Amino acid sequence: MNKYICSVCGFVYDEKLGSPDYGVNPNTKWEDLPNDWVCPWCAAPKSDFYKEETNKKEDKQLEVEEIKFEGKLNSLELSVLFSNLSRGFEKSYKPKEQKLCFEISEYYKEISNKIDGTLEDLLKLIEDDLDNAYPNAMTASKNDRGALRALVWSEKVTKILKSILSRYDEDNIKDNDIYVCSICGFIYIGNDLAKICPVCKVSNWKFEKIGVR
Amino acid sequence: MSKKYAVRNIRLCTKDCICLYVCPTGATDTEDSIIDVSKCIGCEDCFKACPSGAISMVPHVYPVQQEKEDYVINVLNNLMRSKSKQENIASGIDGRLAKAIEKSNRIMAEDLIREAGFLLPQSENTIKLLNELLKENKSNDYLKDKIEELLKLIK
Ligand code: SF4
Ligand code: SF4
Ligand SMILES: [Zn+2]
Repeated sequence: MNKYICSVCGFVYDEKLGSPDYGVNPNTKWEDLPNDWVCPWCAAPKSDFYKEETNKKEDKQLEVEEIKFEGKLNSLELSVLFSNLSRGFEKSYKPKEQKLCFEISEYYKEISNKIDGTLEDLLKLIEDDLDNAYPNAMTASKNDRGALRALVWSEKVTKILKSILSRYDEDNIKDNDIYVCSICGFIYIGNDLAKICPVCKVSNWKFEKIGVR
Repeated sequence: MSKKYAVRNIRLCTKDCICLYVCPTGATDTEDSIIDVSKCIGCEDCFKACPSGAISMVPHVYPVQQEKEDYVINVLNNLMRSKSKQENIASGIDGRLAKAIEKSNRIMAEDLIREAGFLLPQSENTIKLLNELLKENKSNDYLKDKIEELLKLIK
């Protein structure tokens, strides 16, 4: 008996348990679920599920102590740090500190070295994150709930970016709106925005619409 | 000084002004809607009276952050670096799609670095970093001024 996990919201389909609340009997094999079956939590199709690998972690001994972060933060990374601090000060109601951090963040962004690249280059980096960086990071952070939460959200968003980049380009999104969740970075392309973010569950007034079509 | 003071979420506030009547010190009666910290005595009267849940009591001093393992900080920072690089590349590509990807990566990077030790903006980590940046940027008037001002406010 296997388990299948929804890559969008994390719902686990356990063949042994079935999904009785949703009319699926225990001991129903994944293959025997109808093709139009969707995730009971987020309505993702079967193709967005992956099989849980039970012994994956034992196979690969990860030397967590060996993981290093090379060098210092570069300008754009400092910009990220300060825009994060700005958000933090906003949340703790410190408008002066919020503004200063925002200005420092903008300054560092301004002076950062631009990197040229294409959407295909982005896709390669995304695949590397998903294949290597996330599995290692999850193992290393398994006892740190805060870190795991951030990793789980950004891994889901990264999977969504991968699927967006393999399906869309500037031409075939002409008739759709694009929104970004300002809390987790989830991107929605379409004209029927859900009430809450499928990744971080924040309500949709936290979504920002990108440009005009 | 009391341990806590009142803050108002301007987005939730309906400006009906019950808090104006109950505040014993007039701290809530400001034209920019930001409750005057120097007047607030932390009595919680406005917090209890507000019909919109627009007021929170926040501590003057936040608790010390939980220790993070170095390797956890490193994996988070490495991913942050990757997201930041992707933001950089996307910022050079035209169109709404690239714009959305740029934004998305910024938000993920912020969240990751936040968990890597910058959860509370007024934490020791932040102060240490600000002092380092100050040392490195002695001759950069713009940065020097901003960082000094920030340090003064945080302490
Ligand atoms: S009582 Fe609440 S809603 Fe009314 S003015 Fe004060 S903060 Fe705003
Ligand atoms: S906590 Fe008390 S003193 Fe402070 S603003 Fe509210 S009512 Fe006024
Ligand atoms: Zn979200």
